[in-house]
Amino acid sequence: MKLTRRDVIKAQAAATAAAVAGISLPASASNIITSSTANKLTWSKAPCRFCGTGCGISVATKDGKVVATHGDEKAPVNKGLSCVKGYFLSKIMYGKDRLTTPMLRKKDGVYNKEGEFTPVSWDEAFDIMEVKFKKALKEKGPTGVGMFGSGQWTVQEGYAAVKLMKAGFLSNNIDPNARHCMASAVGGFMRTFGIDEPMGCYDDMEAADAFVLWGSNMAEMHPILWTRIADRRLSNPHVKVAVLSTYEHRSFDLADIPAVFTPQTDMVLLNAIANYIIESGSVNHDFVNKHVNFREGVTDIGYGLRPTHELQKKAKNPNSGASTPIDLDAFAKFVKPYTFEYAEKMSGVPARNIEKIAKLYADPNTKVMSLWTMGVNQHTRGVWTNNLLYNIHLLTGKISEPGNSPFSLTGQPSACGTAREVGTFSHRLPADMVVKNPKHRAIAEKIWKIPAGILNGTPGAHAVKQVRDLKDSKINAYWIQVNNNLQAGPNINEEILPGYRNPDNFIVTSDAYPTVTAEASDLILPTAMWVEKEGVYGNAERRTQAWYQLVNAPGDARSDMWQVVEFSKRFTTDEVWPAEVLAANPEFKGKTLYEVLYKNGNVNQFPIGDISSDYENQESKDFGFYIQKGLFEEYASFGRGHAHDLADYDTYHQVRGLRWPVVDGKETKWRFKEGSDPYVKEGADFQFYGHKDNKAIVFALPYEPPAESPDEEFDMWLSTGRVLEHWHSGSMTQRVPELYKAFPNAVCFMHPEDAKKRGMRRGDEVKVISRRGEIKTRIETRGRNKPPVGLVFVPWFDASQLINKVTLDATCPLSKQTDYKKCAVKIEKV
Amino acid sequence: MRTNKIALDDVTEESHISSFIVFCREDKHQLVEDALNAQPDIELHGSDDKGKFVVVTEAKHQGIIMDRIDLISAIDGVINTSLVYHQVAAIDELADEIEESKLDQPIEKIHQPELCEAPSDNDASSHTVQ
Repeated sequence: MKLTRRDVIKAQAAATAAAVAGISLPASASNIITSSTANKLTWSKAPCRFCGTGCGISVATKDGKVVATHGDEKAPVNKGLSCVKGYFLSKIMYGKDRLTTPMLRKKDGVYNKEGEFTPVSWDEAFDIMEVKFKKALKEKGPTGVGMFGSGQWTVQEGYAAVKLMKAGFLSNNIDPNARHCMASAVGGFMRTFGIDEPMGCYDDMEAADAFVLWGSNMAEMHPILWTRIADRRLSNPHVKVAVLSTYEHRSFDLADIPAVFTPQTDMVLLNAIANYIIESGSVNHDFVNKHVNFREGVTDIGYGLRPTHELQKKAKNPNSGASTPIDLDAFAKFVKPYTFEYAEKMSGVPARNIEKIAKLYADPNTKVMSLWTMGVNQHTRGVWTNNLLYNIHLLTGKISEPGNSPFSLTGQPSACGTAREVGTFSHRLPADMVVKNPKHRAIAEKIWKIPAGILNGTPGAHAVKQVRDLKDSKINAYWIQVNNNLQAGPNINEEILPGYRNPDNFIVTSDAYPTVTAEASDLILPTAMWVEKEGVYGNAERRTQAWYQLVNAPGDARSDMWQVVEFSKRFTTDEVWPAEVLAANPEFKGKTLYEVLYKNGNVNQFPIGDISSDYENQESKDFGFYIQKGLFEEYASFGRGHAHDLADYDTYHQVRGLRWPVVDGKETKWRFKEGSDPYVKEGADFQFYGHKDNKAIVFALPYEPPAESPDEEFDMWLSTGRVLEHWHSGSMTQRVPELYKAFPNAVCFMHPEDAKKRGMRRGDEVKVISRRGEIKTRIETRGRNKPPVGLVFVPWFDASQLINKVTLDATCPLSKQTDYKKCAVKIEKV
Repeated sequence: MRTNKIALDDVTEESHISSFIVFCREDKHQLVEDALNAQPDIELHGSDDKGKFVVVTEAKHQGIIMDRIDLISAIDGVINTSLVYHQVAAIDELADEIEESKLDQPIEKIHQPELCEAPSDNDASSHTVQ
């Protein structure tokens, strides 16, 4: 039989799919035999580059390029499947406008803020950065510089950046864009449990009897996890799925209980469910007595706007997270007014549907998994709403057991692993520690081998404040890595763009592509992405996953970590550390930050010979030691023995990830539960050890209205979000032609009645206008998203439409996370 | 300031080969199988007779593959189409004949992904392919 290379590749494609499906191919197909040279590919594993699910991907390279990918059948997260985004991963690195050299704004051969982007060498790029960062540090001190990163940083990149900023420049002005998507989730965890991240894991999806989606559109945003839920639902008829959202979307296809609610009234619904649990006698008193405290939070806390904003001045307790102890009876009294009738009036959800959802939680025999993402987190009461979700799981004791799981999903591949666990927030240190706590700073100083007392104890500027500080000339040198803030940030017209173009400021953006953010900067640094470097990501279920560098980055592109570490060579301690500290610690005098932070005996302790000989490692070869391993191991020493234990670095190259805490080589599926979490003491049953008294907290918190609601003039709610084919702001996926084709331009989804009232038709060009700005787009009255009357939905990936000109920069006052999900707009025909 | 540039690289010297799994309701298996067989450019490589099919397709552009997935998903009874494998190859190499003397290894042997650990004996990727 004559065979072609085509036959061989097709046979391989078929064999891979058959293996995933668990079915046998007919004899005719399996008769195809060939030599291994016919389609010689080198396969390696890597976690997917895109969302927070953390799917395992098998990646094939040939002649220095990624040529094939498939879902890794041995990956427990996705079991061989991949979604549309993962499927075309081999294309994201090969867009035609990939940046391959640093680009500096120049006029007449020198840097000029109004100049044209001109290719420069790395030396020239770092020269001007050095001048600008030193000037800002000299004039303003540590608060004069800032860095904005992301949950797409690898663990090592985020950790290297934290060290440069917090230990090098002594500045806490570093924040991740995860501030915009996870900060409320973190705030909720810390407040209720005293320790971050979900207690359960994806295994809950095969154990639950009911799934309740609070605002999340998993069908489009977490398609692989949705496949697992759909499998559970379709193969077990007793399983129920409830989908709550402010508009109807694709996840409603699987909903047994659909519920479209008025924005912000999720808080009313949650309190109504808590009230039902109490009134129907469904409180798990044994669990509550042993493991739960009750507290009442202060109210009227404002909207995280500038202190001069009228709404902020009106608030009685702006930004306060204070609370006082109460008991179950007082809590019962607090939620008593939240009847189903009241909840129906406020939310628009029929009382009988609210009751159906409440019963899923109240019935002791129904294992229930709650799932949420941005709908709950991008909320002016985001932390509160997270607290309210935990309330209903704690009142019923439905937590930390297979299938009973309040689960906060994430959007970025390492929002958990890097932003949260490494602690790249302006107030945090690794392993849930905070800069305000002197004991925590002392631990960090010891591990980092830097002088005692040197770290800055004042939290730095968070994401939104950084933007305000740029506009107000308080931060003058600013470095943005792996994110597209000018597109993703709120209120860009009045706040972000003026800050970037402020003549006092020097803005650096590291990216693989010329995003709008890069183009609004003064210096663009070309960046290596995904398998062009070695790294580690941590997904939403605490799973830490590592990959090797599989191909070289194009041209002069270098990883974010290389850029940060290389830049540290430009500074000496004498330039950035206080003279009295150096006088007391003369051994540090005259050293570079590179020597102090990265050649410190920890980070440089593993020789190049430790790197697998099968793989390239550009950064380690440059620096002369196995830097990814050194950074990881130093970082991991923060959490070991403190309920954040990670395995040793080499293990992660062997396995498909492990869920921390990893103790004695064993991962942890359910935290806080005896028998599955090694940190729970024998006989405790449950132990919420994040708080000193080992108890979790149920918070009494009321409904408070949003910062802005529709009125006579601005008569519609605007909600924003994503669509499957465009992950986040689209700077990568819009370069994959087939993804671009699937959803070419953002549209304004509107109810047909609202369109009719305004004399508009599907396809009409319209302006979406708020008090802050306007965009032009087209009306869509059909399709995948169906808003109710009075609300429009605009996806936010399209750079040419920049919906965030229109949104309000109101935040949750506790988490400082922006509420992109609701503001008031009017729609006019163009 | 210009906005994100869309790089539409219409690669014509390349070809894309991919596989996916089509799921349908069990009672619609025969109808879906007939519909799949009726579609040009779709190769049906196997099924379990209970609603799962293994499909392979080749196209000059991945966008065409997306369109074909849409067409398959629109077949009555199809619940879901999951993507599995994707490879880009130079089009002029695909017609190369493989010498018979080298045809000495069963397909499951070449599909041992060369991962960093030794593949276990009961590796799902090999034992289900007969």
